[in-house]
Amino acid sequence: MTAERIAWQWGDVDASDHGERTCLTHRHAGARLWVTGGRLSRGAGYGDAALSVRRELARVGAIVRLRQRGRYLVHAAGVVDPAGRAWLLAGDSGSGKSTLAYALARTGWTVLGDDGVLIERDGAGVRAHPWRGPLRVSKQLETTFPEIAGGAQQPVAGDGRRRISLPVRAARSAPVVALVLVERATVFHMASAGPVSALAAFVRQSPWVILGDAYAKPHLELLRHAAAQPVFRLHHTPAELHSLPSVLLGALS
Amino acid sequence: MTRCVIPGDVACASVEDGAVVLHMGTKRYYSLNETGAVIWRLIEANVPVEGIPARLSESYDVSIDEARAAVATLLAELEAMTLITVGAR
Repeated sequence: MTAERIAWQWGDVDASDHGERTCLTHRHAGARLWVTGGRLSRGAGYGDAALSVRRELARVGAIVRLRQRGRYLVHAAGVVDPAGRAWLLAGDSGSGKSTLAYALARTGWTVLGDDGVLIERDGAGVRAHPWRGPLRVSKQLETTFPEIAGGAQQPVAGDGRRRISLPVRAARSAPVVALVLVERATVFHMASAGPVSALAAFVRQSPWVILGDAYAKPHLELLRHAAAQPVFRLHHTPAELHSLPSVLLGALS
Repeated sequence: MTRCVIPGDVACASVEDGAVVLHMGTKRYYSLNETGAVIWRLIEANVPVEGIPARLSESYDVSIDEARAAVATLLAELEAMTLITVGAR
């Protein structure tokens, strides 16, 4: 029997390196998924594992596979303005990324993702790609967005944030033009942020950068490029959601 | 001459107003202000510890004594966080 050295861990997934291959093992279920040359293949126990185990392995596998292709996941919403420019809205869970993305989408902006977006180097700049998933906002926003009130959809049982999925126009990839660090607040305020605070915030929202694999340094370098874009800190309130498109576009003019 | 060594599992990205340093061993990250980033770059350039205050004093409007104190404080913090080793070759 050969002991495997754990290269890094993410949630319940342990990763070990085997030359050019990475083996992802679910710590509790023992199921395995291999990442080889940017491709995923099932390993021992994968086919018999519970759906939740396979989903977790597949999500981590996708993140690793994309890292190998130079695309890195950031915990941010990605929206594309009418001029075809991508804006990344980064913040902790519950900071309002999805709400802001929906507020923009209902005025014609398109959406790359509301809880994740892929970024990669694009010449001297950064390009954002979709990370698909349903855009979900709290049903309690029906006073702000009346169209939500008419729907028959109910929040998923057990979701404390009472979120429902809403249809939005999906975006394709677009060059990143600005980053917005978002927080809920009682007083609306938007101001420029310095690159180092932006980079630190982006590292926080892209924790795979710290995995310690061969892609950590290029990942960090990409975040550095992203932080060199115009960066804003947005403290938002429900009352200002309708003016968000003009506020953002005005910030760049 | 005393030099600092940056471990292989530490990475740094510098920006206009500072830098962010990742420690992939401890899974922590740190931000440095502009002065801290200058000192970090001098460490990366293998400048001896004794030479760093003079370089800092040349770049900023600080006395050599102030620069020595700032460098000593930062190096102690970086070493405590295992981001550097001071005194190795």
